[in-house]
Amino acid sequence: MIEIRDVVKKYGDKTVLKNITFTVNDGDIFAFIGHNGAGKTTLIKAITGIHDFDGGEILINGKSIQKEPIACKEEMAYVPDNPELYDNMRAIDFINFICDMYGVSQEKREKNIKKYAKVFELENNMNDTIDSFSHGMKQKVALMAALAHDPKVLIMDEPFVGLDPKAVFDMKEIMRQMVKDGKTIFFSTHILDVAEKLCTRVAIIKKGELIKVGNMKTVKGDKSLEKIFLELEK
Amino acid sequence: MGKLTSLLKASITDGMQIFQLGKRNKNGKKAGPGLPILLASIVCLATFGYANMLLDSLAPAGAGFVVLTLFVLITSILTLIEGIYKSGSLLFNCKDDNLMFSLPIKKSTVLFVRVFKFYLFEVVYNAVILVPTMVAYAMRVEVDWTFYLSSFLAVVLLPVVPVVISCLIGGLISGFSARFKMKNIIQIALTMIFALGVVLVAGSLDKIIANIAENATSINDLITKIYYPAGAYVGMVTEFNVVNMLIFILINVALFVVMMVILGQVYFRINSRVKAIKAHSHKTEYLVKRRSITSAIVSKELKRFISSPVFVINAAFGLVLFLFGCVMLSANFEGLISFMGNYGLSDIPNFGEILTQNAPAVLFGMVIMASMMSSITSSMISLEGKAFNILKTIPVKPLTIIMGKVLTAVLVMLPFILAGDIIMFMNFQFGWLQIVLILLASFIIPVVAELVGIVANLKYPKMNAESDAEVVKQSASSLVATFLGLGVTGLSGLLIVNMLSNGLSMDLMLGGGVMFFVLICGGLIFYIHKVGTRQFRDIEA
Repeated sequence: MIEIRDVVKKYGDKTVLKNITFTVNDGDIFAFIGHNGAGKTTLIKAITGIHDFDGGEILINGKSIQKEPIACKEEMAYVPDNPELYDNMRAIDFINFICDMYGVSQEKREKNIKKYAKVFELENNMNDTIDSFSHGMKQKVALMAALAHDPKVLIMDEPFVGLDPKAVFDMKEIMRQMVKDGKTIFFSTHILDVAEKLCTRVAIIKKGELIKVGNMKTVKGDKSLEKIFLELEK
Repeated sequence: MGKLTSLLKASITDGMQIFQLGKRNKNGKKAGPGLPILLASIVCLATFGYANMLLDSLAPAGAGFVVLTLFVLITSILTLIEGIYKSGSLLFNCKDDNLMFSLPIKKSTVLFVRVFKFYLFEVVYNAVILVPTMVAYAMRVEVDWTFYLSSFLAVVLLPVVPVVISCLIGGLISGFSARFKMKNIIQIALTMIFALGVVLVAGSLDKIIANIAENATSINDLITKIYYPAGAYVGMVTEFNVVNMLIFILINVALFVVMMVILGQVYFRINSRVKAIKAHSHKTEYLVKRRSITSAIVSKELKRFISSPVFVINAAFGLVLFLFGCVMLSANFEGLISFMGNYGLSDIPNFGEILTQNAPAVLFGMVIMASMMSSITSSMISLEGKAFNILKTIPVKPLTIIMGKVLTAVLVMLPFILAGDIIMFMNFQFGWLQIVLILLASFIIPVVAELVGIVANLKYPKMNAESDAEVVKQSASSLVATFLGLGVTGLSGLLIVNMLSNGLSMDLMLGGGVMFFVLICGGLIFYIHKVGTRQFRDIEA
């Protein structure tokens, strides 16, 4: 569960997140949408502990990201919008490194790495250095690294960008399976069709302010999510 | 012309950290220019003091200009050595390649922008040494406006020749090594050969001077024969001539243009070859292996280290010189004494004997110098670039990550330093206590040097560099670490000589020295724990 309470973030004099409050429950696939520069990545970075925030509180499964950052990070995984990985490493070395940081057992990592290498069709590329990979392949490595330690909370920034159609399909299946297991998924996206079909809840942010949050069905009613989003953006 | 101006402006303001100090980041926080300016001022003052000291003896004899020559030679040699190993990284396989080569501009324009940025940095870097020397000269010798004009031209034009030569050598090395599968190793080996070659030639420069002196009619002729730019500048200072000044300008501009034409012909081809990625292996077997957090961090840092030729060469240079010094002291002691004689050191009575008797102090000083010269950690945070966010999201304390980086750097240095120690232990007389203290110092001093480096990098991170060389050689943190290292080395040398000449025993001096560095080490770890971890969290990639 992710609890975001009255979060404020400032860059100098400019307030980029204005008292954001909402909760992502266990079992939610939660879409976070908004136009470019609305504050999506800023909030995601605050949730994951990449940067600090100036007011409010963020709790991951009841623990504060500011007071207990290590305990929070142990329970979550983050996939950035642009997969900036360690390019000089081989894919397997990078994933092993991330697993080491999360203290993943030998047995668990062998099972998960093999499983996800097959899902993302990277079995033949695990020994190759990341700098030889395309954007989509890097994104798959980032997803593999995030999933390898079975996170309770998965946070992703534009996870589908650069993925091929099969990987998008498989990723959606993985997400559905994860929430069936009671895990929490929170991601930002511009692909509103995917959000509409996949997500149980949604939040819309505009210029740092939360303008709509709730169940997908309640938020969109009979209209499409795209239509609602465009109306709210006016 | 408009395009070129815009490109230069964007490239210089974005890529050169010295023009960004004092600028506020996204959070409104300012990277204060205080420390870099203070350290640069100390170097300026030290240069000014040293130039004045030399002028004391040379100016009354009417040979004050020799000081100018000396400092011009020193800066040119330093620029050449550094330029050889950083030009490859500054010119080829930069992070903004895709953007630059997709713009509607000539490929040679991309090359020009990168060379110009390199040149501009060297102008600033050289000015820190040249300007105080020129000021000292102007205060001691009567000068007129032509001196200021000539000196201004010298500051602007003297870096041209070393930059041109190092770009050509860098291009040659990059082009050649890119043909091989293990291109990084070939590049490191070739660059080290070229750079050490320059050091050796520079070291024997006085012998060349002595040989040419037999045929030269004046010192100025002699200098001109060895290194035209130094001769031309000193010529303008001693006897100003408009024609010579124009020739000086023209020669430098022409050299720059010639280099641009030569390198411009092959630049894109070399860059494409350097960027060429290895074919995928298609192996289905891979190793899933569990390690401790520390060994995983060290392994990751080592991989990053060896993936960057400029990083390896920058770190290895001081260590190789240290090892070379130990071997020379042990294997060719007489030759070394005679070599030092060229610098007037053999004028000290019983210099060889003094050196032998004080071998532990000499080794102690050499360990300090080698450690401080090889500040690896001053680039380790910046080299993370955008991937730094990975470190911020993993469930590991920042202190563990920071100390993992320090440990990696120390592990790189230790084999060189211990090998040098053993060579010295075998060839000079050391008491058992001295051996223990030197071994302790050989561990603790590299730790201190690397803690200083990481403190500098946490204070002055550069997370958006276009190339590794921008971080390793041209970032504020690497400059701060270098200046601090120079300061510590110089101060330690003075203290060692002072303590021993005042009758302090060797054992006490070494013991005191080790204790001092242990205390500094403790202080730095405390500082990193209290301040550094907060700085780590505040860094935005």
